Amino acid sequence: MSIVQKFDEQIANQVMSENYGHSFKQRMYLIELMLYGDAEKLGDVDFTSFTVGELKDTLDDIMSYESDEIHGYETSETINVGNPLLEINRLAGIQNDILKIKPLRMKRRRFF
Amino acid sequence: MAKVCYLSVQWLEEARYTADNLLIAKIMHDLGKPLEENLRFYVRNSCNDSSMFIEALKKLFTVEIVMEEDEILHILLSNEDIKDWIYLTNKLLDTSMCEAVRMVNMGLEATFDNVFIHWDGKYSLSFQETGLLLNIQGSTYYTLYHEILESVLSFQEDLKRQVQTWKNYWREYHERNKRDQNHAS
Repeated sequence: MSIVQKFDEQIANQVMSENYGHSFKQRMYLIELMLYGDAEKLGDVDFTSFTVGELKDTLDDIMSYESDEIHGYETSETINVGNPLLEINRLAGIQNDILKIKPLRMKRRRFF
Repeated sequence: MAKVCYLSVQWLEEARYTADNLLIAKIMHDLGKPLEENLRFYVRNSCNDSSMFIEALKKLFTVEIVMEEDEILHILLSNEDIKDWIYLTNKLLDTSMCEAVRMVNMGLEATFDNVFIHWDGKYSLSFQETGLLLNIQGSTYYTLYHEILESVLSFQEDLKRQVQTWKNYWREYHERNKRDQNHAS
């Protein structure tokens, strides 16, 4: 299956059911909370913001992620498509691209 | 657009343990027995010793002995229901209801007997004279403790129900015996 087909299927799923979109969002939120956020202690976590089922789905996402160590960088383009871990990294990619854009330097006119 | 984070096998393992820890904490929170806020759920350096499983068990039971052999973990648990059940079975085994009690006891132990969903390993429970012995077999490296915790919780509910039922039977049996003795005298 090509990457475009997979992407289309994912979008179709998201359009068809609102629940899917919500669950995907929650899984991304949990991955951010656990693995990329600042929270390390239980006191930092708001336990009312997610359910056990959502957390279990997130654990499944982590388990099903094929490590980048095993598959080469070039060959693993399609392997983890649809996994929130990959999606969140892609979002981070956008942020990095934005950070790369530097404001134009104001040229000082020099008068000799 | 490319991935910016290179996810190694070790990182994914740590992520798995972290999610397992948070699941244990969430289950305990929903149960109304939250774990201490100072506990760290985030796991670094692939270390599964930092699991919150024992902490969660301590909230539910008196954890008396924790023993570790080669890839087998023995934990002795006790609480009011467990003590009541052991007392009741000892008493009821001397009566005509002994076979039924033995079957219920075996049933309780058998429903807990389980294998891990993802990895090679299993866990079981058996009643001892002093409490309930939990055996976890398999490499702790791959163990997901929230699965065991959920099984322990459902076992606890089953046990509570059985204790209540058999307490009533025992009371009835006791009263009938007393009545018979009074009639005889």
